Amino acid sequence: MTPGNGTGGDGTSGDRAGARRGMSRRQLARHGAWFGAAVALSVVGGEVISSVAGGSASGAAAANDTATLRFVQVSDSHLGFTGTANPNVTGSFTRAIAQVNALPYRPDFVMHTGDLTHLSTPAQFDQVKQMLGGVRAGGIHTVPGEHDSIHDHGAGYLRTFGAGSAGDGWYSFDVKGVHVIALVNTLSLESLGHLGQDQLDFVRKDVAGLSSDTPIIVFSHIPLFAMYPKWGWGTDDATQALSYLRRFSSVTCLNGHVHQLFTKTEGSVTFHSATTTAYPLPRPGVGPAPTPQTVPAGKLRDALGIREVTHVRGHAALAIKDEVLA
Amino acid sequence: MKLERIVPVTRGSGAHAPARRATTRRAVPAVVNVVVAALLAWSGYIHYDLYANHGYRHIHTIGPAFLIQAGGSFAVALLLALSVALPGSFMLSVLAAGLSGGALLGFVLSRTSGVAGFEEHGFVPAPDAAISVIVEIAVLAILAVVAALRVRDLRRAPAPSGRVAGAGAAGGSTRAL
Repeated sequence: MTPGNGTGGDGTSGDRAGARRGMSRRQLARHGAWFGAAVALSVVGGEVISSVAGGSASGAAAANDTATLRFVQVSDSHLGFTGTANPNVTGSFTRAIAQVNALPYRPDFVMHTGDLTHLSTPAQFDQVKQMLGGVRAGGIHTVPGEHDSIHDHGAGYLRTFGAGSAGDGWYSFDVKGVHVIALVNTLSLESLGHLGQDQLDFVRKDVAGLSSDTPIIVFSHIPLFAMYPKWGWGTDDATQALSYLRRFSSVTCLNGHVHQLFTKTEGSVTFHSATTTAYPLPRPGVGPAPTPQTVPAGKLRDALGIREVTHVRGHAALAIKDEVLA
Repeated sequence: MKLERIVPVTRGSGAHAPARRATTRRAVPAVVNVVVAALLAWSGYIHYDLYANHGYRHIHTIGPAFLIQAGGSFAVALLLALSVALPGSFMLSVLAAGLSGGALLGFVLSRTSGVAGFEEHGFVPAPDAAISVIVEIAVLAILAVVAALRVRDLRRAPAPSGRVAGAGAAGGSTRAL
């Protein structure tokens, strides 16, 4: 209890007697006034904090645009899917691209984190390649999902999107002071995602010459953390890959596959799972299996979306903004 | 908490003891208010710092929750401090307990089952997480002790009929706390 302020009005012993009889109208008004003041001040405080925090970030971005990395993550478009969960995945992906193109800035790149197609057919790869060609961005990058390597161990994916990559499609690049690594953990898929020794060696050598204050962003389709291993939502040898990155002050891992937003931090490493442009999946452990979820009419767009990411040089954290499909 | 244990009574000053006790009864609640307000403001600042400078504002659901925690804590801390000079309200204690308890609950959930699709491990970010937990536990502990003493004193207080004036002595520690 706030000291000396029970239900009593002015702190006299008679107030305790009054308390036993119930609260007077005057006392009720006083308590209500304090409560109202607390709510009002909280709202004002929240507005001030929000504007201060937001203002400092946008100010830094505007001051020196060459120091600001801005990109968009889209994921799990599943072109070719025809189920009731989304009978028009092409339309949804078209809206996602339009949303990217309508941004007030030109992203430095757009990353598609896998499951571009649903069944890896040449027609589906051709369609998604053409659609991504309409994205207004500095570059288009992809990593494959398990749906992009059905029957052919990723050969179709590599023919379409593998230019400039190594091994089974992994690669890295630097942009505006940030080191970006794109990994493939869907080709040797068993119960969990798998990177394999060749790719682990690639990661180790790739970051060996970088200073520890270099911000690292890692893309993969399947999460690099154990989100829900029972459904295969994890990568069995990710710990080894992440061990090469522990010395860096800022490591952000962005993935798809799970069709829902999820965030986890482990020391200096932060994991962000992205939503989808196709159809939602259940939350971990809800239901027997991660099957497409049919949501009520009109609610589908709320479950789909894109992700804007901003990094201002000198800041450890990335600004991540998840948006529902417009 | 007995007042006599807090303020040593000077021997031979029997005539002034009641006045001193009365002063202490007014001072102790004010001190408790200020301490709770300070702890709450500290918790609010930690959440503000994590929100504004450590990327938490970009985490869905968690960002707005940190904003509410920070804004609410600053507001209730300010009002608790103001209530030292004004007739206060138990409502502020309820809000303080709710903010601290809510933050603690969120911390525990984020380390166990996850909360709104967000998970963390251990006392990270360090040292903010550990400090925040300690501060919030302190707020809850102080408020719990005060509430327990008040309940005890209300039970000890005489019935309202007749001897209202005599309730002061029995309610001494209640008034103080």
